Amino acid sequence: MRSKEKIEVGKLVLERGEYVKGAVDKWFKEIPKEELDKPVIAAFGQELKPITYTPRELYEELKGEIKERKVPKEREAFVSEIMKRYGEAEK
Amino acid sequence: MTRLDVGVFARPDWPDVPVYGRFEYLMDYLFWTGNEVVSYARSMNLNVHDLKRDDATREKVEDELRGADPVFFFHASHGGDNILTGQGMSNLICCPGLHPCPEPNHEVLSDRVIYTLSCSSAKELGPAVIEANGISYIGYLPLLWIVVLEGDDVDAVFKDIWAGGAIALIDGKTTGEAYNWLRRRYEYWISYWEMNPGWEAPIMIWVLQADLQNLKLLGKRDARIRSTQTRVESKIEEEVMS
Repeated sequence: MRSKEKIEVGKLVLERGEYVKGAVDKWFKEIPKEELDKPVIAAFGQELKPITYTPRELYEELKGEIKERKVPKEREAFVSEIMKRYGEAEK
Repeated sequence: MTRLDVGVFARPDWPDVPVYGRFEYLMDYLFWTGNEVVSYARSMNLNVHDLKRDDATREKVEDELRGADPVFFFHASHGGDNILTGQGMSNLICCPGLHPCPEPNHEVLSDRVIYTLSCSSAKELGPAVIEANGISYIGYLPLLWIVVLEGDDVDAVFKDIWAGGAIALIDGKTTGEAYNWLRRRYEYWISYWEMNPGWEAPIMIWVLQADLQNLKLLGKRDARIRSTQTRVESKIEEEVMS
């Protein structure tokens, strides 16, 4: 169940990277296989190649960022939501 | 003085990037949203000048803005810091800035209320339009995101919010009221997804929060695009009279 508690993602990733990765893995395992490689989000930027991400691309990027202990500011809300839902049991 | 109750709608639609969702291409989601806005505008007797697909070009939009002289300009396409794009990612409206703009034409938006569904243009173009005596500019900075999974509470949420903001203006609300309506609608859907256990929930909340944070209103907050009262004001008056 989702917690209302505010999560400091930067600090959490720095101090407990494996715990964060575990929650992200749990989230990824819940995604239906047929959805993994289809775009899930996109942005309407002016770049020649518009920005899109599949769930697998999001997961792979996030895994890399957690490994380097540095999640970009704009992605903290995403990690925070994953932690509220999938990080509870290991707190 | 531009004409109230008149709107130019610039609505490109081309195969930009495949997304394999409800629609084949990303641009189709903005076209879908625009269809709802245009249809509502017509039903509310707004004088609609709808420039779709191949008509959504710099030349035709400039001609229509100068000819019809509308108070309202609706745009739904890709965008950059200093640019709104037209059909095929062409240069529709731009001011000097980050991306090449050999012939700035942002002053064509002077004395108008602009509602754009696009990325980034609230950074340079929006302020330049306001500086050139634009009335109000509702746009996004830096990015406008969408979740393209099909569902009444997934991709349709974005249509609901984005069309709703323009519909608020068509209903006679001020730009400030429309902006506040948009904020409340984002917050409503964030709350909805906070209670939803699906794997999509972290993505939906993240994207909705980002769009809410990126939503900008520049210029006047008390501007309207209608000459008549809002429907609520009319109803109150009718009740008082009876």
